[in-house]
Amino acid sequence: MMSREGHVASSFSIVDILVGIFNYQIKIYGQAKVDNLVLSKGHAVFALYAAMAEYGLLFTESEDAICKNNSPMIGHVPVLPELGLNYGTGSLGQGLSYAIGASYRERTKDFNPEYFVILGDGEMNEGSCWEAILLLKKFELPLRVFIDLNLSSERALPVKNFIHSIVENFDHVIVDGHDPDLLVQSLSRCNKDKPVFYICNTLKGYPLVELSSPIWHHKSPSPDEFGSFINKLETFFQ
Amino acid sequence: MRKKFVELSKKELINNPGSYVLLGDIGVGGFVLQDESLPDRVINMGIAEQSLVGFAAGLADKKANIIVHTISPFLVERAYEQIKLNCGYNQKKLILISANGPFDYEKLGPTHHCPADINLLSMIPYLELRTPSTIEEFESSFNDACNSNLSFYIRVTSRYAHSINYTELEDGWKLLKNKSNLKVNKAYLTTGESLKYLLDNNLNINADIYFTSNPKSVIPNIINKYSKVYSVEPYLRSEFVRSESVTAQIASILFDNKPKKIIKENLGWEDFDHE
Repeated sequence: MMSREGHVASSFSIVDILVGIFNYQIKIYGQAKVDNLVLSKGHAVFALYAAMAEYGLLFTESEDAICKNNSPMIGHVPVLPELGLNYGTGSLGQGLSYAIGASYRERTKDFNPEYFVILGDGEMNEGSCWEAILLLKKFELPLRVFIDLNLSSERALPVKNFIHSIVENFDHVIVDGHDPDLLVQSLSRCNKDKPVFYICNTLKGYPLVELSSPIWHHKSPSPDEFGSFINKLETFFQ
Repeated sequence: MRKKFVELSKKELINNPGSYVLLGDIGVGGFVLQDESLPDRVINMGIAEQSLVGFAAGLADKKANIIVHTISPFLVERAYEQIKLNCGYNQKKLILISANGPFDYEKLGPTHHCPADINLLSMIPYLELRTPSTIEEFESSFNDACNSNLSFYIRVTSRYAHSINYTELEDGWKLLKNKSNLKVNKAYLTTGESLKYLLDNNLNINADIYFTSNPKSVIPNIINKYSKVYSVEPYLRSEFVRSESVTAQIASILFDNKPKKIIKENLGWEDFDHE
């Protein structure tokens, strides 16, 4: 936060999705990891950094370097294979097709590797996402595709109804995106060999209601605002 | 060249079990013959070029070659950002092979032209460029790409020159001596389709020709012995020294003498001219 850069509200939007994914990974694989996770809405990387730190995938000292000059911890998902971050994102609409290819590469006759992809609903404006969904249907790989439906982009180009239409072609779950336990349950029950979409109803900035305003999309809090947000978060979690 | 592409790709698939050929719904017939046994690693990805490149990046592996093949404007221009981010930023190794040269589809109109491919791609790091003039150059370019750690873009063209007697020089340059076999003071530097033009028009009677498949090649010192040196790659704007007269001549032939008319008629630019 000290750099006053990045997309804070979008990051809060997906924190619980990441927690759900990591808890599921721990339950199934015994560890949380990011080498099979593609955060396609790369501007929400602060949530990824925070979740990685919480789950021991990132040294906490690294947090101080986020978005500082010459730091590899940039304001979108960086390419840092040493941390398991094999694919940098930031330009929307790139992550799903990559994840399909990666899953295709790793599949064997007896094993279909799970990949976790987080898309934004605004990102679903991009035609490349729709292309990639066609590829996913063609290959039927076990991707867990989370669409962060925070509705913040509906004001510009509504896509919600089309998202609901397209996922009808797949196994899909409509879920509270701020309930990690529910996400773990849904993930645990899903078909292990097929793609599954998770339409995650979320609030941008959750649980900080004021961050849902469009002006907070790429605004960083002032020191006073930052202090206020910390207080509210502490109250919320009590 | 496209037949050679199929032949070399099949060879790569046989030799390297991790390699794939991804087709943008073109060239499928060359691979999918009934007696073939490579369908699981030759994938028709449909008409979705951006995701085609993204998928290819996901498939990319240090031990394998992911060959992506489709019509050049759809590959280079529509999926330019994907190439930039996947090859240049994420450093995933891909071999991009166009289905055509810049104006191979000239009669189909400007939607299928791609004269800017080399200029655009030359701005992307970790991406090598090749514009072979002959089948032999295509083969060596393909093999270089397969054996490299870097991504490659190879421009296939139907306007290639046939086998010719040339002398190999340093840095991939080749020398084709003038037909008169005399000491001449004129030389052409060329790459890609322009070699065929030079030979078809007997421009090598009184001039030596230097050609290369690498448009970024440094010009060989040997050309200093010539008093007149012409660059002949009309749509490349590469690092070659350019000569206005010869490039204009070649452009006039390749563009069917009316390049601007083709573009204007299809995009409606003539209307704007009259306003």
